[in-house]
Formats: sequence, structure tokens, C-alpha cells
Amino acid sequence: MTRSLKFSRRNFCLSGGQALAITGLAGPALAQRRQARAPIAQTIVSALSELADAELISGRPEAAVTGVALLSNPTLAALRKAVAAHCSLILSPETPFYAHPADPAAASAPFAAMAASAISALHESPAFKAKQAFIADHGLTVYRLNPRANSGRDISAEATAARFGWTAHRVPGEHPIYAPPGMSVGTLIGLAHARLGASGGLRFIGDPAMRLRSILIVPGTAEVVSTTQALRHADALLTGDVREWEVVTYINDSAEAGLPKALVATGRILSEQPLVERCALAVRNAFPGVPLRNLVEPDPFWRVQA
Amino acid sequence: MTPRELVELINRKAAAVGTPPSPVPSRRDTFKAGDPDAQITGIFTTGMTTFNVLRRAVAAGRNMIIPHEDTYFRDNDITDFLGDDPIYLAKKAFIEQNKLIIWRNHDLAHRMRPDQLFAGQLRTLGWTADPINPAPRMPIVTLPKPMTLRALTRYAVARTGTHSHRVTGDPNMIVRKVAVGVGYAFPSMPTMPDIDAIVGGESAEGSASTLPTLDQSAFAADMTALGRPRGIIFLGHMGTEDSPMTVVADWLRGFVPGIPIDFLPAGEPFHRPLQGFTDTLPVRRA
Repeated sequence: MTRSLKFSRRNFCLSGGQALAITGLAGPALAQRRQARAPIAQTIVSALSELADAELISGRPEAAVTGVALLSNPTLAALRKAVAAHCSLILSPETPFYAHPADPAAASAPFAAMAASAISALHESPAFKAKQAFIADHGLTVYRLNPRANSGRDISAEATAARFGWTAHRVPGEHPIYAPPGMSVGTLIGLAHARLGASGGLRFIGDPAMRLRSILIVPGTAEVVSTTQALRHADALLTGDVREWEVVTYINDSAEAGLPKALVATGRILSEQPLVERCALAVRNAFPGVPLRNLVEPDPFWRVQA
Repeated sequence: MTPRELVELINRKAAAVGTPPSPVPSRRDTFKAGDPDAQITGIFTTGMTTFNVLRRAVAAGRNMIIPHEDTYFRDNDITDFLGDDPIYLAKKAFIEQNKLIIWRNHDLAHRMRPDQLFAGQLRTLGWTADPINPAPRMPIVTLPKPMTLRALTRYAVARTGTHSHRVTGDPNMIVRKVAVGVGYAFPSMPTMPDIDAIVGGESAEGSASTLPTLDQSAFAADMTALGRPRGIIFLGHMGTEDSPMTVVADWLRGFVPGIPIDFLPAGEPFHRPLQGFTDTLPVRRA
């Protein structure tokens, strides 16, 4: 099977005549001219205010933007690609620095010394230092995009539903549940592959032939309390990352309880790509003259035959 | 013997071999269900108290289960968020109707020296921890001979039998030294600069965690990008903390007379991958 993403790296990032802006222009004079009329980072992220809260991670909000890179996973390799495409503003649902900073209140918690030592090791690690230096050396401004989810709207789930062609099949109610016709566990898995590129990282629960009347979408990581409560109203959960002792066990127990539910977990990074794409479209619409790259990553996981 | 007497005996035996009671009582290692003063008919240890494990225990005529993980879908087993959830109520009713007794053994098993879960996983993997003094909580293993990440994956998968494993890293990278994890006790790659790969259970993907928990996959990818290849084999929670509960069953049999005690596998929760998802080695791109 091949991926059939609506907006692949090839056909999306170079649309609208922006290919020339990215690949054809170089040299300090041209860069200066572009910067002189370029919007600043803060202006660009303000165009996303209805989609996500933009959290500044590195750089300056007032920095002139030479190009915008939307990254589903801001690895060093992805940052290098963004810089090679002359992008100075990095937007991603993930931070390049692997986690939220430590909570200062945790300094008095049990094992605080062990935690401090682990954090120190990270900060001294080649990967952390190289990334920090790369971002500084190239004058990158980096924002983390925290998707909006309130008042019955979950922007990331809606973007996923749109990617799957389910927008018209939304079930009324507070949860992002969809009822596309003719769905089974097997067809949902096929769609997760075709629409999100899920492959070696995909895990699922349920008989592949099981019919699904309704599917709850939880992009990112499925937290146990909110997910199990919403899942009472759906046959299946389509999500990114899951904890085995929480949501997974709940779904695993469902068949034995006589109320079978299914799970399709694609991995967190892949599950966030529809949100990234939607943010990319918003930037492109608001700033058609600003070069843009939406770097679509393949499934980061693989497996061998057991 | 009653479950209450059994737990007291377990704690005395643990203390006698160098693991005294924790100064802070464990909130995990408590009775989750059943009458602690009933008579035990038989015991199963297991990785997870799945509904299926409960049914098999009843079918075998045993009324006590000692799982490593929670029963009601959350580490603290506080069920108020479940309310009248029908899946929860069905599981709870089955436990009550069959008078099952569940006592979780998580923290004690990990406090034992050696940690019973790591000992069990090393046995499953057929490895011996490198002699390091003091011994790190998460064992480091220098492989008998270097192998590719792909070969190491095939080895670990064959030893554990996991079909829902996931791997990140270059399949052709050479692995000499690994760090072993179990369950969510996952070695922190930045603290182990000279290991090539982690063979662990599960770890949160992405950067939603708060330090010191971090996205290990992204860290490994960045190390690889810097020319220091790193790989991670995620065997899953039940790929690392199910069969090691055999160690707990073996230990109990040594001092609990007259009660049948065995390990009952919970198994992987995930379905076997469908065709097309079973062997997904990445193709090198030009």
C-alpha cells in the first residue's frame, strides 16, 4: 500500500508559487530585502489563535520570518531540513527539547535528587546541546502548538476527521465522535495507514471484522479519565499514544464484559499530523507570500515478524 | 491460610532477605477486592488483572490473584471516575460473584534485591547484567557479541514472543551494550551515554511529559542524527512485566505450604498485526 496524503511534502510545501521563494533565492542582499518586508513571528502565530495556543520555546517573537516550517516532530534532522529551506520560524505540537521543563515544586518530592541528576544529564547530553546550539546559531524562533480543545470543539480531532473524510458524520454531543458508514476495525486500520501513514507503530484491539458504528478521535495521547468517559458513547477509539495499564486495559476488558470496543493507536506523532496540516493551511491563507514547509514525517516505528 | 496472613508472611520473608517494609506504606500494594480473611484455594500471579485472567482463575478453581498492575484501569485503582460504567461494573460484579481476592504486588517486587521484575526479564531475555558496583536499578548488559538492531529485535521478540513490539532506530546500527527496562520503568537514555540501545517496555511518545520523563524516541533520533546511533525496542508493558511475575510465583512457593501457586500469563492486550503491518523495516531512502 502507498500513502495517499492529501498534502504530501512534495505537493503541499511548494504550492502557490512558493517553490521559487524557497529554492531559487539566496544571497545576503535578497535575504535582507525579504526580511525587510517579512512579518514577525508573533504576527504569524497570531493567525493560529483559533486553532492552537502558541507557546514560545526558543527565539524572539519579534524576529522577522524568512519562512515557516510546520513540523510534526521537531527532531534535529527536521530542523536541519527547515533551515535548508530557509525557514526561521518553527511550529510544532512538540517541543524540540523532549518534554516540558521540570516543575520547580517537584524539587522536594521523593527521588528529587535522582530526577535532578537525570535532568542534568539531559542538559549536558550531546543531543540537547547540539539542538540548543543549532536553534541559536540559525536564529530560529520555535513555538509549541497546543491545540484548542474546549466548548465541545477539539480542533485536532476535527482536523483528523477531515483528513479521514468524516466531517459530515459528526455525532452531536460534546465528544469528537464520528459515525462514518461501513466501518470495521479492519477498514479503520486501512484508513489509518492510508491517511496518516501508520505502519510499524500501529497497534490495535478488536476483531478486524468487528463493525464500528461510532469512533471517538483523541489525537495525541489518550488520557484515561476523559477518554474512558467519552468512549462509553462510541464503539472505538482512534488515538495516538496509550498507556497499557489504563485505556488499553479498559478496552481489552470490554469484550469479556460483553460490550466490545476497539482501539486503533497510530502513535502520537502521526496522530498530530492533521493538526499540523491545518495550521499550515491557516498560515498559508493568512500569509500567502511567506515561504512555508509542512514536513510530513513517516512512521517513526518499525517491527519485525514475530 | 488467609490472604491477610499470606501478605503478612510475604512482608516478613521480604524483610528477612533484606527488604524491610517501606517507611511510607505502599498505596499500590493493597487489597483491591475480596475478603482478606477468607481461605485461599489457590494463587495465580500475573502481569495484569485482565477480565480474561479473572475468568481463567475461576475456571481453575483458584480464588486469589496477585497481579503486578492495577485492576481498574488506573494506577491508584480509585474508581470514582468510572461511575456506572458498564465495563467496570461487569468486571467488578464478576470479581464479587466469584469471591475473588486481589492483592497487588508492585512496589515490593520492585524493592526486592534483586528487583524481581528485572530479574525475571533478564531471565526471559537470557542475559546477565554487567557487574557494576553499586548495581544500577536498570540493568546494563554488554551483549555476548555485537549485533544489528534488526538482529537484536529478532532475538528479543523470539525470547519474549511479543507481536505488538515497536522499534525506532536504524535497523543496521550495531548494538554492543543495552539498557533493560520493564513496564514503565524505562531507562533514561541521556543518563547512559555509552549504551547503544534500550530494550524496554513502554514509554510515553512525544513531549507531553514533564522532565525528567522525556521523549526517548526523539532523543534517540537526535543522537543518531549526530552520528551516534541509538535504538529503542519497545516490547510493551506485558512484554516485560508479565512473564517476570513467574519469579514472584517461584519465590512464594518456597515458603507458602499447601497452596497451589502458579504464574498465569495476562498476555499482550493488542491484536496480532494484520498482514502488511507485521514486518515493517524501513526502506532506506536515497
